[in-house]
Amino acid sequence: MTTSNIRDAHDRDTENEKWLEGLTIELRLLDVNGTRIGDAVATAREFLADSGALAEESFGSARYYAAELSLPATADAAKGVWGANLRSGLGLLGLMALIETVVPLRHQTDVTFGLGVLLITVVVLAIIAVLPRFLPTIIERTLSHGKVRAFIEGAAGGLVITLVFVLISLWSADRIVFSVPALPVFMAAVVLLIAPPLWAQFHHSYQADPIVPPGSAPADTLRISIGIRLFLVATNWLLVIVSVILCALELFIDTLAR
Amino acid sequence: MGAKQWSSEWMRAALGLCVLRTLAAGPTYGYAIAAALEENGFGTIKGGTLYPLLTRCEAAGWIAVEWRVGAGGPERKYLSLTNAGRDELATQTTNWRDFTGTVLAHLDNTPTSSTALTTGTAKS
Repeated sequence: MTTSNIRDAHDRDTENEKWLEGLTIELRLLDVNGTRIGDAVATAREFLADSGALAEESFGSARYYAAELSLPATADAAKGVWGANLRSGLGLLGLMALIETVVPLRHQTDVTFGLGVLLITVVVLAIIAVLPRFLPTIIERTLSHGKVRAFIEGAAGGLVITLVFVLISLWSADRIVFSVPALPVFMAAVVLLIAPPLWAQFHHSYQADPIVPPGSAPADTLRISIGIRLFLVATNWLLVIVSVILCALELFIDTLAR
Repeated sequence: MGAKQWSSEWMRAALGLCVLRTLAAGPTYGYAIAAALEENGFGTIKGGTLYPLLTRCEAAGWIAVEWRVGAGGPERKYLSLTNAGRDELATQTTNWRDFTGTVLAHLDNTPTSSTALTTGTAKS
């Protein structure tokens, strides 16, 4: 085998592995379960190894092939997405309430909710509610347009949302909608913040519906490294960690202001 | 000279039956099925054509699947005909013979005055 042939084979394998990754994502987007995805990907890999063909030439695009396979969707996939969405929404609500409450609680005064904060909360919850509808499109755009362009588009989107928040804050000025005692709000915020990750911690495995290669038991795929485990735990408790940091920052600024 | 490529519509109609016939010889894997069909004059069968068809046959209960470790190689997905698959092969083969017989009989039929009437004749 010549060097050129080896390089060609290497390039083909690299391209095929990229296509197989794309197939995995497309089947995930179609809510196919992990065991079936593992089987479909291993089957395609076997055929490509035998034929020495390029995946795109032999199977067409990953999206086309995933659709052609017509594998059944997992029944409770949509339920899982909406459950995760609800938990994120509640957690975020808790986070925002906690930040508003921490300083009034320190001074034992009432917590005041301005029009701006309420409007921003509504916008954030609306974004979380519609996110599952747009998530497949976002992933497909990332795959087809590349990570750099997806990052630029994401950053531009974030900038627009921030601008909207700033405009809402400026428009609403100091208009106060209502004020309530800080302690009950604080307690409710803590519950909203802690309950969702606590529920997720005990009711979900670290890798729900893992992709299972043929011939291996689902339990095998759960043997993930401690590093990944810690990362998943940190992700689950991310809002709690962020809220602790932001509350500490609020208290620090309040101390400096006095 | 390359292998003849048949009309994709004909292939779509006949491929399922021919795949079942290939599997009648015993358990085999995807690429071997494609290679056997190519050897028998069907042209190149792409993975994107073969596997969705095999998935449908598996869903219908005509094909059983088993992953086996190859000799020194990676795992292979072996496919075999189930009893329902054998029955389906027999039924489809009979139907296909009837159908192709009808088509051939029609093609070989010498046009008669009755067929000429339905197609119409030019007025002089």
